[in-house]
Amino acid sequence: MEKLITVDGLTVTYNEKPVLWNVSTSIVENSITAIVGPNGAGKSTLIKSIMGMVEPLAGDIKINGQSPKKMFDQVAYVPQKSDVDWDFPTTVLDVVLMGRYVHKGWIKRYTKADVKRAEEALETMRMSDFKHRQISELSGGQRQRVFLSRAIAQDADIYIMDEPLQGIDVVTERLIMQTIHDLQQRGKTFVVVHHNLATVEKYFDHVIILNKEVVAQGTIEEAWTKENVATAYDESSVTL
Amino acid sequence: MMDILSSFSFQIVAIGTMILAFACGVIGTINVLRQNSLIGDAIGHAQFPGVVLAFMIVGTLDALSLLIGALIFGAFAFFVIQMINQYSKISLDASLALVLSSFFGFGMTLKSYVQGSSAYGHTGGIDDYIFGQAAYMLRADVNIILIVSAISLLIFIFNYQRIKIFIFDPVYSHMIGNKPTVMNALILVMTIGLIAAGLKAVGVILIVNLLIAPGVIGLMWSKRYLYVTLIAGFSGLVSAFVGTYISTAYVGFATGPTIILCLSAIVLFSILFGTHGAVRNGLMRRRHAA
Amino acid sequence: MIEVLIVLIMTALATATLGVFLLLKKEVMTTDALSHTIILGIVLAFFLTEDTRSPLLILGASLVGVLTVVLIQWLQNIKLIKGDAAIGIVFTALFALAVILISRFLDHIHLDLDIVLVGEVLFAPFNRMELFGYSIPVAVVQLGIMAVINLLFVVVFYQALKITTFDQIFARSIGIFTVLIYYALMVLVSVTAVTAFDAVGAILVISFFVAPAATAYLLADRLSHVIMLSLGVAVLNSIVGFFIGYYSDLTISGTTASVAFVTFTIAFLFNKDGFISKRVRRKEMHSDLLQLMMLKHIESVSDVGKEDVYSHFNQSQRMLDDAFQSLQKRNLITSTADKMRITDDGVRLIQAKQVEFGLTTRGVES
Repeated sequence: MEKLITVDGLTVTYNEKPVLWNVSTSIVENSITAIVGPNGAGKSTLIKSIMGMVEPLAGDIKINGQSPKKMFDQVAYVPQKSDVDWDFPTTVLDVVLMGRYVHKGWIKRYTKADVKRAEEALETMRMSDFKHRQISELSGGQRQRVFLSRAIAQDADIYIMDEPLQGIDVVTERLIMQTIHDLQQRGKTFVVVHHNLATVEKYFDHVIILNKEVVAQGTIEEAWTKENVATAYDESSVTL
Repeated sequence: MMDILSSFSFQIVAIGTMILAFACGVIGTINVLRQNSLIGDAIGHAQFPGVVLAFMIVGTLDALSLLIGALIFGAFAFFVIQMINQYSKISLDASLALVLSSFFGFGMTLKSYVQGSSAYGHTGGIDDYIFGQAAYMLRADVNIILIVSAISLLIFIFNYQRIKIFIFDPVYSHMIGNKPTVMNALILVMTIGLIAAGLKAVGVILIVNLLIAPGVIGLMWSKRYLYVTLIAGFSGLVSAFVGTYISTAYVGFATGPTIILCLSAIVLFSILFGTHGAVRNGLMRRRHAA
Repeated sequence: MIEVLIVLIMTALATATLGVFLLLKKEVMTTDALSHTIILGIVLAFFLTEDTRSPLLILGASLVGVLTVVLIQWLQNIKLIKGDAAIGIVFTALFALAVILISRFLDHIHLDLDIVLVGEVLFAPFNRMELFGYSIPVAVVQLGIMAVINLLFVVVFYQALKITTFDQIFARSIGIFTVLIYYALMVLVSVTAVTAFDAVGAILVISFFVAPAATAYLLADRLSHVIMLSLGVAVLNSIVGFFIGYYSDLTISGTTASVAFVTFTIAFLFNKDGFISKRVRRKEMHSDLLQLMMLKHIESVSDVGKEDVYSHFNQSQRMLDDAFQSLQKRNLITSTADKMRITDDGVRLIQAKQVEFGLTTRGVES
């Protein structure tokens, strides 16, 4: 299998403390890779580095052999819910249209085709009935569906998601994972920060266990062992 | 009534304040949404020493040089506020108040020096920068307002989608290639420019109001950013027209404060009866209060 | 002259005591709002009394000050608009109303706008009263009383204020009337701003409230120390500001505000956690970390060339040279003919650091 994203010796510091320490890892093309690790393990920092949003102290990241900053239109991002201003006056369809932004010219005018693409994406996430709703009226699960719709509308090859299953209902969780697997069939690659250790085996085919450095990585069969998780979480026994 | 509408001085003042109010409404909405409304208050006051210094250097109350002085000090004040926020535990509201009052105090000190010194000529007019004297607006003032407003609005239109994404979802905005520093600078340039351009005509207090009240009105009537912005712009524009008319028709109504009162009346009405206002949302019964 | 200085110092003491709590409760811009709107109160009270020296003016102005706070609180509580926007629309509206009332109905009374904004402390001694047979400026008495009341308020309610400021919800849970405390504070702020109005005006009084408090907050760690230090800074600012203003014939409130900013800037730059020490410390730590990362890199890729190491780091040539030379000097690496290798000391250092940064200690394997 082809390595789509390579991370080589990545060190990132925050307040002059290492958040990521000499991290070398890779994301396999067409995989669904979970990034797991305890709080403060640098999971969000790792994905932000892959998206070119963080200046590392050392190391190198390549997406398809290119610098991340040149590849932003090929990477779709689903943010953590807390990063967003939910009182912002905008509708569901408007948010999804933001996904078309990367394909637009300098003035960024959306065309009918863009609207159609956005509506299709909403349909995929079964949110069509909500397209004229104001975003503050949505539930947590619905908000997450809107964000995934936006990512789908972007038509990217790589999806990066920061805890997409945090605090959402069961139906939405199932729908999101179903959509992710469907998109995998169509050749997409997923990098997902994940917090629920119990569902790693069920949902993912690759895993990176992180605790400031890479504790283990590879396919679920190779890397997802009790010992590795215990090392990362610094506990003698972990129930998987 | 036709007498007033056709009088040249009314037209000048009305056009100047209407354009300014429209632009401030549109741009101010950005700061209202980003919970940074009072930046205008701080920068507006902090520009005062820039105006006095420009007068001390040039020696006359030339509109353009005073504008430049105001711009420089506006940017400097913002820089100081940023530094305090980044490198100390002082909160934003305290650093705004600190910069506001200190810079203004420094400006007043400079002004008392100018007035006490025989080296400088007539200083009447510097005070206008505080309360504004819209009634004495000149053609040159209107030109400056026109140019600065046009530049600000053009920047806004060309970056509309960028700005919208930046306010709503700053992390995503960064991810799709818009540097936060660039976005902040863009918003700042528009804000500082409008404050500096409007300062002499309408005074700092009106500028603060023009930058906040229209955005609040817009948010009470719509939940779509484009409409919020347009409602903000037009409510500013209408208030400016009505305010200027009242102040021309009746003695004792200074233009700036009258425009504020018009806007405030709309704000009050909108907060109570707007489609997203208190009554419609049942907030008057304190259901969601506290 | 000494009376002018006393008025200024009384103003500074009365404001600085409350300023610390305004700063910590993030209510400084609310104070900016009410210091503007008290002008409306003065105007309204003047309509009733027709006397510019009536004590009712203080009462009326304070009432409008409190009304401002109530309005802002109400707008913030219904949660339709954000707190800072609420402040902005309330104070500009009430201020505009005051200006129109003045220009429409009080045109015959000359109102010097400069004095409204920045006051004129030099005029304070002209308005005098008899007290115990002495002739004393009214301002000294009024501001002296305010200083004492504010100080008493802070001393008596010290614990309640402290807990409310720190954790409002906890305070409420243990039975402290947080709303009452808040309004008591804001009433005192209003009355103090009104009393200080003639001396320092509507805008510069904000400097008196916030600047000494902010300066002290950067220099002291405990609340009681912050309060005491802010009083000291306030007095210092006033004395320096007074002498500069008095002898250079400048507006004294303006020079005091300018001096207050200078003292703040000094504290900002030079306090132990301040701008300069932060920059220096950050630079040191950055260079330490860079050396460590270089060492780590050399460890993982042994016999590596200098160019290869340098190209791995996104750092300036000078930073890299410094780090490299320091590693050599500390005997952490050996470098022969452009091939670098880590020494035993180097390996031990990496292991120690990995423990320090809370990393898993798999480094032991190597």
